[in-house]
Amino acid sequence: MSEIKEAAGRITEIQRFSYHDGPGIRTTVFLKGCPLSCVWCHNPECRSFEAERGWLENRCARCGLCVSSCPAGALSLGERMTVDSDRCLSCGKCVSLCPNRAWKEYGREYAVSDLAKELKKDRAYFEKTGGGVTVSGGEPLSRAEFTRALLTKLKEDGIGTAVETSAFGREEDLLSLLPVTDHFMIDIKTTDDRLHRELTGVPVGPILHNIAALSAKGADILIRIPLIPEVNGNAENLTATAAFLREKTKIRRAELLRFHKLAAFKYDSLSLAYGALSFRTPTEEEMEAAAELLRANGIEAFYAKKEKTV
Amino acid sequence: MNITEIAENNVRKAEKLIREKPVNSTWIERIFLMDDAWRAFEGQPQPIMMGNGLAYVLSRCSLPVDPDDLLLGRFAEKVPDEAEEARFLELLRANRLRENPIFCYSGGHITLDCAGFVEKGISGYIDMAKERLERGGEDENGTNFLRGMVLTYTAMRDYILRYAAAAEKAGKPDAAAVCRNIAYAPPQTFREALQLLILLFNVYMAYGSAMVACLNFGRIDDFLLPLYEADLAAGRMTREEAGAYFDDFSCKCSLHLGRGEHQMFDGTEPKATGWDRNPTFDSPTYVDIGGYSYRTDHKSNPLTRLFAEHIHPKLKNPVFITRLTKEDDPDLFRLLCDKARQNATILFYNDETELPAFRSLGIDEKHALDYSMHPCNWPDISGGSGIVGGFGGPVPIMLLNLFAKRRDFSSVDEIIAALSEQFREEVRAVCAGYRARFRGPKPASDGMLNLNDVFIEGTVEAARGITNGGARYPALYGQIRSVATAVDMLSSIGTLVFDRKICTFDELDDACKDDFASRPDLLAAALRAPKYGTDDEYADAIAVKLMNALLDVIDEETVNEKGEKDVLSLNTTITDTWYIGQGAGMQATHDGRRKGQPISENLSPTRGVNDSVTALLNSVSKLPFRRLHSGAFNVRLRKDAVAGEEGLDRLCVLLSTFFEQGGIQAQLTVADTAELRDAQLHPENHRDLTVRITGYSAVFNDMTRNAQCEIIARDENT
Repeated sequence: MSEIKEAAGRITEIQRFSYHDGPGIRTTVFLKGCPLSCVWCHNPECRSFEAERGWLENRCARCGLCVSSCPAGALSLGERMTVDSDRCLSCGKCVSLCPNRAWKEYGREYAVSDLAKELKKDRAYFEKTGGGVTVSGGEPLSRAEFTRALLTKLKEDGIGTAVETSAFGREEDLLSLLPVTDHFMIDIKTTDDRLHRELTGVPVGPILHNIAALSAKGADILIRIPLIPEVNGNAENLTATAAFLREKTKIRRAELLRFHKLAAFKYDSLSLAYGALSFRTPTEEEMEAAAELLRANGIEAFYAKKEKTV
Repeated sequence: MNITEIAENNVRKAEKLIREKPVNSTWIERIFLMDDAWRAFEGQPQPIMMGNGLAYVLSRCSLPVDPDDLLLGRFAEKVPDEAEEARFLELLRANRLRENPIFCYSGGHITLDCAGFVEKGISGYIDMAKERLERGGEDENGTNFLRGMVLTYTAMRDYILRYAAAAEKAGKPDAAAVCRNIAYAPPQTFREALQLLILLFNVYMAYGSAMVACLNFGRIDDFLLPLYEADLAAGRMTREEAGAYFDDFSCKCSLHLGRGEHQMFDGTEPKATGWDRNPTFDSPTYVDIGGYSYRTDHKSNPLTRLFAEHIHPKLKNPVFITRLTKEDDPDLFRLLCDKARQNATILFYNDETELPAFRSLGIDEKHALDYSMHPCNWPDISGGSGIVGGFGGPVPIMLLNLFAKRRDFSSVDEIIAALSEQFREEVRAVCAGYRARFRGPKPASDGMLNLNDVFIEGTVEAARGITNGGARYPALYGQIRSVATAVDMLSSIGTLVFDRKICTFDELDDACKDDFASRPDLLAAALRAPKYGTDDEYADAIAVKLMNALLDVIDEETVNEKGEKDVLSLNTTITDTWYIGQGAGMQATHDGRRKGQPISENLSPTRGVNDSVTALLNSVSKLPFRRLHSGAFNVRLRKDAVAGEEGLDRLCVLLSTFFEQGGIQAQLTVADTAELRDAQLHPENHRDLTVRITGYSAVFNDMTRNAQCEIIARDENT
């Protein structure tokens, strides 16, 4: 990760009124860039460390203005828009010229103070709900210095904080966030190193090590397990995950996240291939079975019911 | 069945009726009777015609009684047979159906003095009008006005008596007794009061009116409380029975509804739902609940709670104008939010901003506390006011008119100043006309009696109608409409022309005139300029400055030389659904809105700029609402955002924070875009889906496709 420039506050997106990323009403800031490449990633726009542009099919009028104006000739418009990423200069002309706002820019740079100011706008909602700001990814540990500075600033201003991380990074970076972070949310996809490398491109060892280290320091950690029946939904994997938590950490709760394919359109918009098309969304029964298995193994598991109705 | 079960069953029947009424069904009896009356009394002075005409209709109409009626008050409705249909269509063509006969004209759109009606009873009004007539002192027109009032009140009293007889015949002696009691004296019980209100409503809606003559009953939880408490104390009625009567009241407010949606119909599709065959279309009926009061302790008014519990989300009527205060019981607020997330027709209003606005009018404190809204979200003063004119309109059009005359601006402030002066000319002229009509010597009687005049304070004594100087508070609408588009125009001009200097004002203005055809670069830049509704400081500051500048003009022009407020302007940002048609006829605007696209709706931002619901609420709450008397603010949320107990918590926090920060109004539609689209494809799966239009609701399946698309196009604010 040495090529990643530290303290660059490149932001994919700021999402206000967020309520799935920690307690209460929150503002989630998605950093740009992640060292993992999970095949099912729900936020492909956060993966690259570079600024990117996404093409929004439903807004595009097919006028071709962006294609003809692109100085690098990186765009071509057939049935869909494709971006030749090798040619693209990231000049942003397509974004600024589009009369239909059909291009969305990901990767705006922020100074810590400017970003903190933006993130604090919903303070009134945070205070009433025990909410706050969640720094998500991308991978916050890949921007550890910036993340720490941002969280410190928010804490100074009395804003609740949370970090959503893969825990893939340096242990000292993760631990350095602890004094300024109220809640951590960390995914464990699998504890099997071979499978983990296959699915995410990185080893699982550092992740498990970091979770254990963070837990040992008394951090409030919510473990989340994205459940994909064909990949990690088997009993062996869930039992191993539960065993790891029991034996190496103080964590006894885990949330199961239901895999879905709602992100497929984002891959299209970024001219990226979607690797998870063959995966299946778990049924309610599979969710419950996985939760039961974890519970039988000493982990209090929960998940959001599918058909939430008022 | 006990009374609660009967009431619940009645509610289910009413819910079904408003979704399944045959589209060809109409009030054929009423329509023909009215036409006959028109012929019978043609040539008489109008007030006399009105009294006689109403008496003609009300003494001949059938009086349906359902065995399960807790309150009486139905009217005949049917699918016409062939001969009836022919005469009906002839009347429709001749406009004798739609344009209500002049002898009985009522446009509704008013909050009647129902508190006074319940206090005095119909007999009290008859006596009052007779006494005033005997006192004399009026010319022929004024005398006819009073004679017309006596005839009108008497016709209503006789209608009540006829209903008593019909109930007796139908084997409902208790209902008959209730009607007899209220024919000769003010209501003495809660049930009698609701019965009186429903029969008044029937006279307005079913017999006396047309043209969406919608009403607001006013603060029913407030003025009915003494009767409710007396009944409970005397053991005459239980809380459950009161709830049952209110349920039946809600049903009776819904029976007249034609299916479909009248405002957003644009003539492009066959009208499949038949609302246009129905004299009052799909008109909303309002009640006010909650809010500060001089009659009761608003913090613990048990009727507010009872009525809130009996809000039925699937019924479109009554529409609940729900006044909130910072002292409200949090449990009550939570209950209301729970109803709202089920798409009940609740329009939340904030007393903390409304009362300062109404008090600034210099009206009596009692009347300020009795502020109200009549359909659709237009400001009113319960029982004391009537609209006599107005000024202003869509601010984007005002800006385009300004730019047609002048283009040499050097700042946004200068544009706002010039706009204010242009606005001042109009306001000044309207105020001068108002003063001539209402602030000089008592005007001569115009000899016209409108049904709206009969339950408004002061008209009997003055022997004049509302528009003839008879109302205590004749009011103008001060309209500041489609604010978002105007703000975004100024924000774009400020950014592109004055700050970034990427073009001149003339270049941007010219680009608008040819719909940006030759300047797509300016279109793109305009679309990216800061937008109102995104919690952007630059745009929001323009919004505040613009609104304050226009409100300053109104304030300055509505006082006389001595500095006394002598013109009553009820200031509002209401657009109804006119923003669609107005946009359709407009050139492109400086914010990047293309030619023909809608301008902005009510307090909503420009479509498509939605950031998040919190950003939206923060932005909107910055506007100077303590100077505005009404505004509608549509918020559409995804179901997921408000699902479960946590979702309800979130909704409570969203709304309470918005109101604490100074928001004026909010009305929710909880429906995902995906759900709305699915409802277009599979209506059978979405029979109950109800959406907010502007100050009322529509059953989604009964809307035309274009109107459905318009609702879908409104941003999902999450």
